Amino acid sequence: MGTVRVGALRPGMVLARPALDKTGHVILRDGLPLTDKHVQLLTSWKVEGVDVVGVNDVPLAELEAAAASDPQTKARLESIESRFQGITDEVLLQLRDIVKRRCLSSSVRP
Amino acid sequence: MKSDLELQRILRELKGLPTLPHIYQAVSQIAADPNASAAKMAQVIQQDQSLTAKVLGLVNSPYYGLSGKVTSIAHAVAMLGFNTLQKVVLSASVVEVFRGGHLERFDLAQFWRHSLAVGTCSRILAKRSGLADPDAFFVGGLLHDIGKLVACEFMAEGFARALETASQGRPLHEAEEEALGFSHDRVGRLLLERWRLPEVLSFAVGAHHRPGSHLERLREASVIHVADIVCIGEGLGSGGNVRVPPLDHPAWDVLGLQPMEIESVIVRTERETEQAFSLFQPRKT
Repeated sequence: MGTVRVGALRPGMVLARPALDKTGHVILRDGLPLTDKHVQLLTSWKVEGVDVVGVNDVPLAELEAAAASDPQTKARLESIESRFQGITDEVLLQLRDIVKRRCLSSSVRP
Repeated sequence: MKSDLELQRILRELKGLPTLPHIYQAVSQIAADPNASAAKMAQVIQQDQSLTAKVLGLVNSPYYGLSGKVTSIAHAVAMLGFNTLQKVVLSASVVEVFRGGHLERFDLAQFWRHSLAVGTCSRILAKRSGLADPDAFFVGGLLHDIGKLVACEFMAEGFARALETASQGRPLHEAEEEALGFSHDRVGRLLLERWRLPEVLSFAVGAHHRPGSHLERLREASVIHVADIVCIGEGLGSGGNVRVPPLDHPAWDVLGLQPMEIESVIVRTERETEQAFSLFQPRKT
């Protein structure tokens, strides 16, 4: 999964996460193979980027390593880590990773 | 651990325990009167300028889909109806009733930001789960930690000890049990019962740390629990917990929230909370 700018989307790419509008409402469901019409829709809703399966598939650890040079992002990630420190519950770890990905991809997300 | 009876006695004997604002009682009476007019309702709300501004702010929030369109209380009454308006008035007026103690580890602005986020998230989850009255869960979420304000204002020493323990990573409600003999969820429920608020509110507030022990009403009990965890995880305000508290799995399962939906819930919660937060800044004393 990786964030792809709407201009670079091609038909057949599959959404790895739901595409959201600026208010957080789901415009297109995850798992959907994109058509030209979908791309037009995303453009008209002014969505900047969506997450696509298999494209630029960057594991969270790599994203984190890449962001380590930015002190602000690093501080935000550390704050997330400390809120989830010692937690082993699978669902909560999933929540942590979603929160982290949001933090890491906030520059291209609506 | 103190029993409910002991806690009720403590609440009864507290000098200066806040009551609900008179205006909420007045609005509730009108809402319950089948012959009351919309004009009468508007007249009562307009008596309070600060409340009027808060009600208009809430009504114009994205949730009602009326953003920026409602400019008068009369219009708000017409658009929302008495029941919803009554809840909006409750939300807007309850922030004023506690002045809050002044404890180093307890930031009142962050407390209300967290409460508002949990209210907003609870409403989204309740609506998604098909519960009858999503607005009631907004109020429930907004008030879910109100027991902490009772502790902060009236039992400051014990509450400060609980906050100190929680700062090491323990869930605050457990630390409160040790330091005070009760936790905020229980005292919050009893306070809402004293205020004679609808039972679904006191129930959901009282159950928010242990929803799994209310199997007969699991869905109602789970909404605030899950909203609280999502908001703490995302770091939306702070109610005194430095770690995400334990998740109750039956609660998570009954709401059926898919991992893919979580981000949408977070984005909407964050947006609606930020818009409404300026209305919820406690008045300076």
